[in-house]
Amino acid sequence: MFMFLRCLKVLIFGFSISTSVMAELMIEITKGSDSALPIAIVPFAKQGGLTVPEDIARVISNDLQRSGDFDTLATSRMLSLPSAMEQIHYRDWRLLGQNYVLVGQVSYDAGTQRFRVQYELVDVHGQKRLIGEILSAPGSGLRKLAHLIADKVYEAITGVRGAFSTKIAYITLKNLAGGKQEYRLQVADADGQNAYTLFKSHEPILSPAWSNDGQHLAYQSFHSGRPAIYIQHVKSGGQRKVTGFKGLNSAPMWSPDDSHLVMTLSKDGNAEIYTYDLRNNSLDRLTNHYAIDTEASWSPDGKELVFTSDRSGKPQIYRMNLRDRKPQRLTFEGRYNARPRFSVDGKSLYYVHQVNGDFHIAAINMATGENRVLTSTPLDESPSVAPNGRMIIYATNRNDKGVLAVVSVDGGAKYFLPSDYGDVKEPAWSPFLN
Amino acid sequence: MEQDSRREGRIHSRPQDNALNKRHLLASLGLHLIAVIVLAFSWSFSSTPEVVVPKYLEARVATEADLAPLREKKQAEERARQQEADKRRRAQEEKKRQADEAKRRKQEEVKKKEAARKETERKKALMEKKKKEAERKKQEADKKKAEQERERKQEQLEKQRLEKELKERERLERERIEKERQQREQALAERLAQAEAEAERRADEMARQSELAALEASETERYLGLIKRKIENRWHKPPSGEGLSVILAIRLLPTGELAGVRVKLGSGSSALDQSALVAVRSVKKFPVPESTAVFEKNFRSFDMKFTP
Repeated sequence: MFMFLRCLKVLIFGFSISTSVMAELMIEITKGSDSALPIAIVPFAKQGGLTVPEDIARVISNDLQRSGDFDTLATSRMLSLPSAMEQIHYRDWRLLGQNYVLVGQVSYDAGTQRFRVQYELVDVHGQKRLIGEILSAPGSGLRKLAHLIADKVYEAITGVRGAFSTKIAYITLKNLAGGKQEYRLQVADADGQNAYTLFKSHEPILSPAWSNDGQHLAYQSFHSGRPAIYIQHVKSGGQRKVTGFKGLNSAPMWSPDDSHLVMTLSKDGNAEIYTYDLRNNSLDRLTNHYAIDTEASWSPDGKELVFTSDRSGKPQIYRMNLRDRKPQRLTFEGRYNARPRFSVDGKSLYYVHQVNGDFHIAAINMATGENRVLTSTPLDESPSVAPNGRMIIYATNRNDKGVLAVVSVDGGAKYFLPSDYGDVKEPAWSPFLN
Repeated sequence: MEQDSRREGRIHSRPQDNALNKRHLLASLGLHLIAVIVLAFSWSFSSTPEVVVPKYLEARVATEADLAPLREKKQAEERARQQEADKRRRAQEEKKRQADEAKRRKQEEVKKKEAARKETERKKALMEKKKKEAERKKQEADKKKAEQERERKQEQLEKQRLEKELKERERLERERIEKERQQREQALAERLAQAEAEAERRADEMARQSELAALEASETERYLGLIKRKIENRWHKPPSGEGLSVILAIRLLPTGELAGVRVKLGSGSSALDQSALVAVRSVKKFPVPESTAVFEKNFRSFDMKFTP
């Protein structure tokens, strides 16, 4: 036995020597920088003292900066202003700590009366061009073109489609002289610019919702004297009334295929959730409970709904599979959880969550129940998710005024949208429009 | 005779344990028995002279019967005389007959005796012969026995000698085997001792090496950590790369400058691959150990795996 052990010892010793010689070195990186990715958007060169109605580089830079994913370099810090890849001194940009440089130039074609915009996105460290093309637009389309370039840059670097060319709809409220109020349904670019009014009323307008093809908005309006749900064509402005039942007609949301609206009606005596088939104008009641059931929203796959109900005594969020129609409670933390919206991948919900008396936007993982608060402003409401899933627009209060704010889904970047017309609330982010 | 037979019997009953002697003994016993019986008969004949006694008693009865008629006394006396005469005559005859008989008997007796003597002689001779034969046989047997005994003893001696030899051989064999076993054991012990010594030597060597290696490892660890932190600070995870990973092959110059980087195993997401490449290329100078050996071992080229 002793001999055996000694033999074993010798054997093991010999073996352990032979095993320790291999193993190639592999450094595992799972954590990344919390800071945004440095990128320099060099002002686009204008050929021959050309006057360009839009600062394209600035629009792009603002878009990228607001996304929270990029940190754009101030023009004042740039050592040179190249307008094409071959003009780039890489060392300069490396010294400035830039990973990418976007260069471009604008020319004008008098014949077509269009501006010709050429851009190149260059990898400073790899010293290679990632993307580049030549686009053209009339002067009025240059801002849109700039958003488009921002989308392309964003996608080239992050792998996620940019949502800078999308739009937002929202409601404004202004107190007029003589105690009257004016409500407006407005549509603007995602950066809040180029806003225009789609519909206005002295009576409340609520809950605008984009159809998934981006062509229509559904909303609730009291302009006829009592609440009704309308659908309005965004381009033509054509409006039609969908429901005007006695009692509540509120919170319309589109099904993923735009064939149905889900809405809250109290025509049967109590706030219940119904689906409305837009093809044959038929109603289907989904809930039947003495409590309030409202603010329903469709999952991206169209198989289930989430909604707010106070059937537990306080507003909480429930999910309902459209096949078995059995409500299942999702939120348990806090006394107030409402107005749920699905994330783009359908795995999470964004909703209004009350913490210590303040209302914030929170996210919950539907599989794990894990939740986190994304915003820190005091009266946050009405979250709506950008079509690329990266940002959430919501309404909040700033200086006693209702404003719109945007937060990235990871809670990082936040910014407010300018509001030049009274209180702004009930934002709705459009789908991709191009 | 009885004494003879006893003597004979004694002779025969000597403890000569062989079947032949037993048979002789039985035979002689039988003969003696017969002789005794014969003699006993002859003895009984010669010792019965009162065979006529019943006749005498009868006569007395007849006399008594004649007692009653006294008148016939003379007659009776006459008859008595006559009877007496008859008696005498008969007695004489009887005497004569008896004498003859006795004579004859005597002669027969003599004859018988002679025959018995002869028989005895014969038996004696036979006995003698048998005895001699037995003795001869006994001697032969004794001789044979002695011979056998001698042979047996010799065999025993031989056997003992062989056994002794065998035992000796076995002892030697055992000793040889034990010696060999001890030799083998010693050899094994020596081999093991050598191996152990070698292992210890190697362990010492390894300990020395591992001290060096530990130094190197700590150097390696330190610089790996530095490189890792540097990359982590520079890597901007693309939001699209969840669940994917990319492996880059990195080559450095001893100065720490990047000699080359390439995608060894792409993630399938060009944004993720690009983000990793940018993170690596954005490092102007990698922290590398001063020791050339350590650099050559781990930092000349290595892989880096990015998992968002």
